[in-house]
Amino acid sequence: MSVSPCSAQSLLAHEGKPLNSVMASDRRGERLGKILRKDQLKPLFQALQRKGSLYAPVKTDMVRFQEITTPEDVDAIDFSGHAFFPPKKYLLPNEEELFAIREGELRETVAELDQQFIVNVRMCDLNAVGILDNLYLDPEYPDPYYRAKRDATTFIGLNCVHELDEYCFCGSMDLQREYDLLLHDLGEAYYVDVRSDKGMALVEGLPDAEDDFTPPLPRTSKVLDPKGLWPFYADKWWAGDNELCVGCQRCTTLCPTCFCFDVKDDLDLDDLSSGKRLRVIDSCHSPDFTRVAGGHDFRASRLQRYRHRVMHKLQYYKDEFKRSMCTGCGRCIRYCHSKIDFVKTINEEFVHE
Amino acid sequence: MTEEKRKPRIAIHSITGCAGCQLTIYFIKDRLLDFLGAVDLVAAPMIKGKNDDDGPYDVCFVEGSVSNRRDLEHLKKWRAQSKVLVALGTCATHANVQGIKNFHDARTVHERVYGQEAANLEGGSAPVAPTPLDEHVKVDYKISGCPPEEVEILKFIKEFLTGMHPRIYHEPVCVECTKREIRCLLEDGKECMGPLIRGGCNALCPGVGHGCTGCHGPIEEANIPQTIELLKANGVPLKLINQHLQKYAGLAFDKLGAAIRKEVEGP
Amino acid sequence: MNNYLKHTPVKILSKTWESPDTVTFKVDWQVQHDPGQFVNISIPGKGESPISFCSWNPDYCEFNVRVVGNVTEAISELEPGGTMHVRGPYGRGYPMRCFKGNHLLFIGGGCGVAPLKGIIEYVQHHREDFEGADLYFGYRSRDDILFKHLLDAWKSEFFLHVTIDRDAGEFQYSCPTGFVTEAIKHAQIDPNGKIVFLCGPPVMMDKTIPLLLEKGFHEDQLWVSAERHMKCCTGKCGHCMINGKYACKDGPVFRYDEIKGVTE
Repeated sequence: MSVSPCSAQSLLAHEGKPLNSVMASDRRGERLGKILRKDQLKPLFQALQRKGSLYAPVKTDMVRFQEITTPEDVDAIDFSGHAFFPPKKYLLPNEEELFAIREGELRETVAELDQQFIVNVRMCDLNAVGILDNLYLDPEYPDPYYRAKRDATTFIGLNCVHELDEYCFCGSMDLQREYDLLLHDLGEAYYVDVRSDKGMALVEGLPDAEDDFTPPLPRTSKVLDPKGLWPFYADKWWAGDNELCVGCQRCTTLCPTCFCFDVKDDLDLDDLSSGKRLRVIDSCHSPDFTRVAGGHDFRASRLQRYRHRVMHKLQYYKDEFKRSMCTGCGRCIRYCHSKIDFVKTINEEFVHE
Repeated sequence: MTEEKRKPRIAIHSITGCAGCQLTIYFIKDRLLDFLGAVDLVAAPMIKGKNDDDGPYDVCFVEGSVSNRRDLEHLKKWRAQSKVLVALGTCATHANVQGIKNFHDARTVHERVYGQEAANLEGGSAPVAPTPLDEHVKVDYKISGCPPEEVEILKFIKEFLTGMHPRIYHEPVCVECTKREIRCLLEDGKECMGPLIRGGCNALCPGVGHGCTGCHGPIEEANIPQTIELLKANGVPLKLINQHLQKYAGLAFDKLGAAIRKEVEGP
Repeated sequence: MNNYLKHTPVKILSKTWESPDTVTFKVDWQVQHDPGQFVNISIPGKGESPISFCSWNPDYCEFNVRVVGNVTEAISELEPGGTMHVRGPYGRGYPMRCFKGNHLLFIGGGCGVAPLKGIIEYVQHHREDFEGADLYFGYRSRDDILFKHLLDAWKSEFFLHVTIDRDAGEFQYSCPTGFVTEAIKHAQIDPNGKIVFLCGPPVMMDKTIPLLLEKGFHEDQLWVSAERHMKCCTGKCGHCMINGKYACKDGPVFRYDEIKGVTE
C-alpha cells in the first residue's frame, strides 16, 4: 500500500507552545521582594489614581470590581471577599467596538488608553489573565484590542491567606505566579512580590524584604482530582448534572477564563450605511452557539453544551496549552442556580472507577 | 438598481390588548423621526386619521391576542395583504394575561366579567379562546414583551430595512442580569422567573430589585421542573408559581410540559 | 499591530450563478493558499461569513457562496466591478505535496463540491504529480449541480460520476437517480494507492465513510472537511471547536483518524 507517510500532526498550524510566561518574562533583577507597611497602602493606591484609573473590589450587597475615582473612596476597597464578576471585564468587555462602519466601509477605531491599575485581584483571577493571553496574544493572530488593554493594565494581586469560601478549589489547580505585584499579608505589613518591571516601577522606593521568601500559593479544602477527563467523555454522569441545569449561562458569563465571542453589526437608523461592528461576549451554553446558517446545530442538546464547557476547561485547553483552563475560582458553582458541582461529580466518579 | 429604493409600506394594527405595544413604537423619542423618515407608515389607526386598511403592506405589526371573532377576521385580512407579519408584544406572541382564561371555565369567566350581558356576546364580539396570532395565521417574527423593548423594535426595523432577516434575541433574562452584575434574587431566596424567560429587556425588573415576572414568555429550552424546584426551595408556594407560569404565557408553558392546567383552581 | 479582524478590499471580476441559490465570484486577488483553506468575507453592517476557496490559480481566486443566511445573501448581491472585503486565508488546507504519486478520489455532496474544485484545479496545475482522479459528486436535483460548464472538461480528463437524489431524468453525466453514497457502494474501487477527499453535508459523510472502510480503505487515506459555525477564523471566538480542535485553525481539513468519533 503506497499511502504517503505525511504526519497529520506535523501539519498542524499551531504547535501548542504555552505563552503563559508573558508577565514573568518581564522579570529582571535579583531582589523581588519589598515590604509595604499597611499605612503605606492607601497612599500607594492614591498614587495609582494619579497615574491612571484605579479599579478595585468594593463590597456593597456583594463584591464588585469598580473604578475608585476619589482619594477618599480608596477606604472602600475590599480585602476580604471574592468579586462576583471577574476583572476579565477590563480586558474583554461584555461588548466592545471593533470597527466603525462609515458609508459601508469598516474604519478601525483605535482607542487611546490610559494606564489602568487593577488591585486586590485574587490568585485565581490573576491566573485567568495568563490563560486569556494564550488565546488573545497568540503570535500568529494577536488581538490588537486585547493587546492595547493588556499593555495598559497593571495587576496588583492580593494573596488569599485563608480560603474565601467553601467553593474555592484553586489549591488543586496548579496555579502560577503571574502578576505584576502581589500583596501578601504578613500581619503588620505586606510582603510585596514583584514579578515585572511595570510592578517594580511602582514600589522601587520601598525597602527590600530581607528574607528569601516566596508567598505561598493559596490552599483550599475543596480539591479537584487532577486526572484527565477523556476516559469519562461518554459517561452517564453528565446527564445527572444536566437535569439540574436551567441554561442561565451564569457559569460562562462569570468565568474568568471564558473567552468566546460573537461579532455583531449595529447600524444607525438615520443612516443605514453607518454604525459599528461589535465584539460581544458569547457563551457555549447558548443554544445558538454552534448552529450554522441553514439550521444544523452541532451541539443541539443542553447536555452536550454542559459537557463541552467542562471538557474545554479541564481537558481541551490543557491538550493545547499544557495547563488547565480552570483556575478554581469556584464562580460557576457558587453562582449556579442549582449549585451544580462538577468538581464533586468528577471526584465521586473517579472514586467509583 | 438605478431607481431609488421604495420605502417599505408599514402598518401597525391592533386587536385585543391594551395598545401599549404600539405606544412603545411611538415613544422611541429621538428616533421616531428617523423611523418615520425611513418607512412609509400607511396604516396606524391609533395616531393617524387616514389609513390604508387594504394594503398591501411590506410589514404589518399586529399587537393583541385573538380574543373574539372580529379579531380573527381582521388578522386573516392583514395576513393576506402583508409580506411580513410581526407579532408585536406578548398578547400577540403568547396571549398574555387574557390567556389565563384558557385555564378556567369560559362561562364562569364571562359571567363574572359581563354579568347578565354574558349571554349577549354575539357576532364580532363573540369570544374565542384567547390565543396568540400563530395559532391562526403564519407569523414571520415574534417580538414579545409587555410592552416589547424599544431596542428590540429598533433592531428589528434596522435589520429589516437593510434587507436582512431580523434576528430576535432569545437568551434567558439571567444572561443580561449577570452581565449587569445584579445580585441574584433567586440566590437571595426570592421569587424570580429569570431562568425560564426570554431576555432582551436588559434585566429591567431584577435591576430594580424586583424578580422577573415573565412578561417575555419562555425560552426555547426552559427547564421548568428544575426552576420550579428552585422557587419551591425559596418558599414560593406551588400555586403561586403556577400562577406566574400562567400569567403571560400559560399556553406556551403548557406546551412545554408545565403541569399548570390542574394545579390552579378558581380565578 | 496588524489587525487580524480587518478585511482587504478586492475587485470582483465576474459572478456566475451556478444554481438558484449558489453563486461563484471570481476576484482579482493573488494570494498563496492551499486547496481547502478558506477566507472570511465581510459585509459591513451585516456581518461576516467563512467561505472556502473553490479555485487554485496563481492569478485569481474564486469563492462559491450558497445563500443560507443574511450575510451570504448580501454577498450574493455583490456585483462585478465592485469590491469584496476578504480576510484570510485561514486554516489548514489539504497537504497536496504529501499525496504525490497517488490516485485521488473526490466525493462531494451539494456545496461541498466547491472546495473540492480547488483541489481539482491544483491537480490540473500539477498533473504529473498524480496518477489520476475519480470524481463522485451528488446533488439534490439537476438545478443544484455546480460548475456545469466544467463537467465536459472534467469528464474528458478524469472519471466523473454525478448522482442526483431525485428526478435525474436524462443527464449525460449521471447514473440512475440516487444518492452519491449508493454510487460509492456499487463502485469497484481498489483502495491501494488512493487518497479520498470527502466534503459534503454531515449525513453524507456519516454514510460514506463506513462504506469506504468496508472497501478496505485505511482511516489515514480519508481526508474530510469540517463545516462549523465560525466567527473569528483564528481560534479565539470558540464557536467552531470540535472536541478540543478548532475547525478554523486545526482544520477545516482533517485526516479522518484525527477527528474520528468527534462530533461536537
